[in-house]
Amino acid sequence: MKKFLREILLYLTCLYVAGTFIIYILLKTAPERFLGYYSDFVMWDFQKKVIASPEKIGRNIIIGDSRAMADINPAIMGHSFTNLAIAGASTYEGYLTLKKILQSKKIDTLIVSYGAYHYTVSDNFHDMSLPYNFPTITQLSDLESVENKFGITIDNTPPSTLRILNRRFIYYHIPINNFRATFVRNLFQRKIDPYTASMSANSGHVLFGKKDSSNELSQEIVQTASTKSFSKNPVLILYLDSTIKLAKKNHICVLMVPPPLNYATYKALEKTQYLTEYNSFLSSFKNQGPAVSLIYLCPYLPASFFGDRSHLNARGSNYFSNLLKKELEKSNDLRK
Amino acid sequence: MLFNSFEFLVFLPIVFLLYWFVFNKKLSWQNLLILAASYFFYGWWSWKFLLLLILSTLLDYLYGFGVASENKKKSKLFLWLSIINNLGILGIFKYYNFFAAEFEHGFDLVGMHFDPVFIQVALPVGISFYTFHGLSYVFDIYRGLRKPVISLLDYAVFVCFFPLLVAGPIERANHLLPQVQSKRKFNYAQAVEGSRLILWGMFKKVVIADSLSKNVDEIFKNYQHHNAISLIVGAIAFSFQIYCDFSGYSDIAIGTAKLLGFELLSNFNFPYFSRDIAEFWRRWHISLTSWFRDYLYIPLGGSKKGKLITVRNVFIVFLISGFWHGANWNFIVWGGIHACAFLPLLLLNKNRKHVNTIVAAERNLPTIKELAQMIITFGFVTFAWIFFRMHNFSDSLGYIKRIMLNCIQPGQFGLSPRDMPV
Repeated sequence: MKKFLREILLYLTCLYVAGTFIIYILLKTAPERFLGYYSDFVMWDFQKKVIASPEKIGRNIIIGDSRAMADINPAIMGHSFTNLAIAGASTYEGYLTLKKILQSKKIDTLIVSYGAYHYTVSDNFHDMSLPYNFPTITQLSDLESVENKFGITIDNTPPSTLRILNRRFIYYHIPINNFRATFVRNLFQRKIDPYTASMSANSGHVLFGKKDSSNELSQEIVQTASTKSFSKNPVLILYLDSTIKLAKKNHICVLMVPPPLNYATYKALEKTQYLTEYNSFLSSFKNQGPAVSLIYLCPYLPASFFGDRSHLNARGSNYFSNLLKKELEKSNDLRK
Repeated sequence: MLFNSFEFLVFLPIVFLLYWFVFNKKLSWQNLLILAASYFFYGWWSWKFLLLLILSTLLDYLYGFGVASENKKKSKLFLWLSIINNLGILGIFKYYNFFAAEFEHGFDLVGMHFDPVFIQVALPVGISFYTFHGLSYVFDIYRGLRKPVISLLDYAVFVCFFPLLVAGPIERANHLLPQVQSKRKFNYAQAVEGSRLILWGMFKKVVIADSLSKNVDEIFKNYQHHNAISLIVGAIAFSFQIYCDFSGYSDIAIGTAKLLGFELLSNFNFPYFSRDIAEFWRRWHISLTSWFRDYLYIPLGGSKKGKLITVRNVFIVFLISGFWHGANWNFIVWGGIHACAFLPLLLLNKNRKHVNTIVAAERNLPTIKELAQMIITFGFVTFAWIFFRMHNFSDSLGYIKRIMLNCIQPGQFGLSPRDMPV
């Protein structure tokens, strides 16, 4: 027994140390390859660099998730608009984006656009935001204080010391309990960067869905399979409120622009508790004072406007952006 | 709790050390620890469904005594009670919504309206496995192959032994119970073999299966946008994914059991080296196929009651075997496809051609004939996997149609833009 224990411990220790060391070195030398999907990393890295260079940013910014990236085209909105939404981001990253920019730049208008799903969970926090070091370590600690206060994390799990420790491992790229999946997967992955050229040319706008039409049901439907209600994550809502407060404090006009669903998803959600509660949540922005406006252009669009289950295609994006521009011009909120 | 999880990495060493250093003084202590660990292992997923597991265990334990009665009527009654109980649990949790939906469709077809009540309940993990453990126990008692276990603890360990609980192998009472009822002594070679199996299983599951799954998911989800080569490669990749996933899990289960001094039934024996479908089914998910053979095929008459009955029995077994995998017509079709390939071999008495031979026996490489046989068998199995993998029949046909039409579309294996998160 002692011989077995000795040998197995030695073997596993050597295997683990060697593996950890190799993965750590590779993560440090080629993060774009091993920290996540190559296309994710380059996209987040690009946005981080843009946010860090405020001279490249217009006076009107868009924050949100990938739906905002796809749906709102600054080229149509006007040259003063920059789309700083990031695929996979939640209201937490949106808040950090605004906070960072305001350190060195004045903003006139803030368009906030998240899919309903991203008010309920940040499912990419550990896969993208953390390993790509989007928040600073201090900001991460602040987030954890908020999570402890609410008793729930940003990705809807109970807060615990183990999770905090795991987050530090992810943040510092220590592959103790993480990165093996991305590492192994990315060993066989070719480098793909389909987004940064478009982001650079179109001020952050990207088309994800390439189909001519999509009636596939979106994440909201998957979510309603397990929960009937629109269960807002209190941490994410706090950061949304903080974003609005920060904007108000800096005399920024806040426009809440919910992205449209495809028709099939909308029909599936119609008359459900989920949609009723979501609409009620959106309506609450009408009562937040003159500096905050809800611009609910359309709850849904036809399938032919969608390139995949969640994102508008070129036709849809042009239509939606034009619609938004007209609405802003009507309400004289457009800042040139 | 999954085998490839951080929790299991902590759980297993603790159980191992307690088992061999603290609880090894007495057999009953060893079994008590295994039972507690098994309930903890299962309860980690859901404490509510743990109650179902305990209830199922208790009922089959009691039914065992009834089945062992010398009164044939009473024995048969308790046997049927056990069958109804186990299949009832399975039916409610796994198949109720399927049948309710099919009834609704059936009524719609004849112009009548039927509004079934669908139950919103999660499928209890391992239900297909522990119910079969219970059934095999009462069947063996009924056939006189064994006597009922007196100790509830021993029986509970047999049903709930945690390495087997989630994904098998499906053990037999006559194989596992004697081991449960004997004190286990630490064996160095067995422990080393167990550790090796666990590591190998983890490698197959985590490195190969999980890596393949992303690209396989992409290809199967968006098959309309891939060319024939990508689709064929995707199907082959799925063949390896499902093998590595399932056999990896089995290896971890068998390896874990070895660490605790148990020898479990082998579940996979290089199935993709099979030279025909009959051999494939002797090498793939061995514990399940032998279970169906012993408890369904043979009681139905096997192949001993004429060709017509044989055909019927083969179809019943394969269709039910397919249905066991999931409540979906695709699984039934998958079983049916295999039945169609197996039947000719059985009817021509060629199904046992390769029972006593192995590929490349006394050679370094297989012969050309063996290679061709393996390739054909693998090709057929891969074709059938398409039905297993797809969510519905029309998509399965669409996938195959696309391969056959050999349409050239943009997008190649592994290079299609990922379906981005919101």
